[in-house]
Amino acid sequence: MGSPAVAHARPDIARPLRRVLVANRGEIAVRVVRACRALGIESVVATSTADRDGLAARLADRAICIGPPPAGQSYLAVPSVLSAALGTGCDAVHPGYGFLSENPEFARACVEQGLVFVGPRPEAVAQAGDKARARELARSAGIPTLAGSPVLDDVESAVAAAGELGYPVLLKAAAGGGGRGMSVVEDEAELRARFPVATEEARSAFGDGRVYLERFVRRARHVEVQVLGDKHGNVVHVGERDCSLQRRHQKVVEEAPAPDLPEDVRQDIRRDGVRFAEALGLDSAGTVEFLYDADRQDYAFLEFNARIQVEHPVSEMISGLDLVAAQLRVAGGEPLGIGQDDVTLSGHAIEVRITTEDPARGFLPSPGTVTAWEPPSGPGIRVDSHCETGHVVTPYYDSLLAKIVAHGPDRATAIDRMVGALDELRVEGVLTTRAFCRTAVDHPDFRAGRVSTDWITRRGLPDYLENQR
Amino acid sequence: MSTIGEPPVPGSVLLREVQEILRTFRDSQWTGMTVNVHGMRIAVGKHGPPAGARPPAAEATPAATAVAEQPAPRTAEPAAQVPAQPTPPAPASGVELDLTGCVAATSPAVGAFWVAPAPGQPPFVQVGDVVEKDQQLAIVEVMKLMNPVLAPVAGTIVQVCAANSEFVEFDQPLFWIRPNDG
Repeated sequence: MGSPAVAHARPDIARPLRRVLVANRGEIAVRVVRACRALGIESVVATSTADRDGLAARLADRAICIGPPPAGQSYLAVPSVLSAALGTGCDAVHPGYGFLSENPEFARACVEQGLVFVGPRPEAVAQAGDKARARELARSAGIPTLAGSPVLDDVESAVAAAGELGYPVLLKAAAGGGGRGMSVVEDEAELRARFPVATEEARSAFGDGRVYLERFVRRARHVEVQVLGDKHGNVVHVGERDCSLQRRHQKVVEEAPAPDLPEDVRQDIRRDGVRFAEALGLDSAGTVEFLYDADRQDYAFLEFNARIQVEHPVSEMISGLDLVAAQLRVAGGEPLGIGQDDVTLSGHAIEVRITTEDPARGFLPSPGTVTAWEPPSGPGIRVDSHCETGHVVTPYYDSLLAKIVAHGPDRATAIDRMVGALDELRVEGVLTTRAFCRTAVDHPDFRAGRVSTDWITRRGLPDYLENQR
Repeated sequence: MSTIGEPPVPGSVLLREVQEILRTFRDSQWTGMTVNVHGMRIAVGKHGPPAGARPPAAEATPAATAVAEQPAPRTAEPAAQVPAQPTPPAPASGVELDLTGCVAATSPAVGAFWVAPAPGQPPFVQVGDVVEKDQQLAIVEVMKLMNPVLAPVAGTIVQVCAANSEFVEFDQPLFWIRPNDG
């Protein structure tokens, strides 16, 4: 065996994609259709009945209705998605993010049916999806990992492990992800109460009751490295993103590059991102997530995401690369065609997620019909959205309506452009997070690059609600 | 949803675009509509044929012509999505079907449409058959899983909208049934 990269190289697999089933909805379905169009690949969008008149279905070469609105009977229904792909003569499936994107059984089923899964190899999806295994891989590649326990069999071993780590600790589901399946535990009594509940929750939510502990960093920043690999053993990074502005572990604002990061740490983090991707034999786009402790100026591997991410546009804006097109090209067996030296990052980009939620009422979802939709534009502004006037926001899916991205030669300019764009954005008929996001990005703390993952709860939301009064 | 004629007329019309036109019509307040695109003619009305909708006798039935031009393995009845006066698939007799009051049995899944329990066996039902509510009319096969198509009402089968082995999508009308009390 040579290096891991060589071991996974499959230069024999070169089959340019002709027709891709887009197994997703909303803005990412639109995004994938556009990437297909740019590459001259036909797109077929699989939709539920709730989305069959949507923008993605109209922009695609064809739309195929696969089920009723509940995701379990449409976007998550593996047989229906496969049936749609095969019945429309597709040779590949792009899963987008969420839904089936990180389901190794689905990736495997695609391959078994002769379909190209536009994402990492099924084994890599499986390994990345298992938090404990991913962390072991990072450790073996010499990447710092957060002090944590192995998978815990019972509450006594959890108490012992927490004693070694020191409270507070994070109790996490091995199969969890996207901020789901984790809770902060402050002391032993809470751990004893929480452990059986967390195990049961993990079992019912992920079909896997295994849990483990990590040291909890209170003032943490979320820094992640965008990586890109191909089937020929090449891996590059496309810089890092900072996604520290989160609410309940859901990202709200993301930016690239990460602000206020010592240059040596930035280089180390990027190098470790590539190292992890190489150890995994990554042959698609992925993201290596790190937790950065701003007080100690050190970082630790958190998890790997084997998919295109919501916040990928900020990396595209500073690199000029089309990451979704790259995914499609390497899935068809093409080599990346660029080395690390060809990836040049310029300026600063910020993305804001506009969701149909009411910040004043605990971010309560606000479904309804969009009666007016005027997206912003202008220098450095990009809007990724499936929204249009008359668009119906249903209660069935996540509430992401649009991603507003602002790029500028420097961070201050990017922020100014974002504030202007959010002032310009007009959405009527549903409540959105527009005004809240504007407050957040215009806040002195954000402008100074001094926010951590608990900032919205601690400062951002209270300040916003105070101003609303 | 845009109305007809807004974007430049494409060189050919996709079946999906026809469906979209018909769905727009169904959801509109209009009572009749006639569309001519590149020799394909769609005439639909909610209470009977729209004014001047009848094609000359010599002309091929418009919707059927459009369908015949579609290479994709899709079902042949976009018109059936409008629950009134769709153009029939041009039987030799040329008799027009009046589907007013009829109820559609729609596809329960996305997959292959089978009219019989197994190859070589007679179909579950044929046009003219009287069926009970929940009687099995066909199968939609999804990755080797057989999903029964059931009659939503008791009545008489007036139209089978897809051909055997055709690829059908979820919610697509497969049969039109005239209810017993309708």
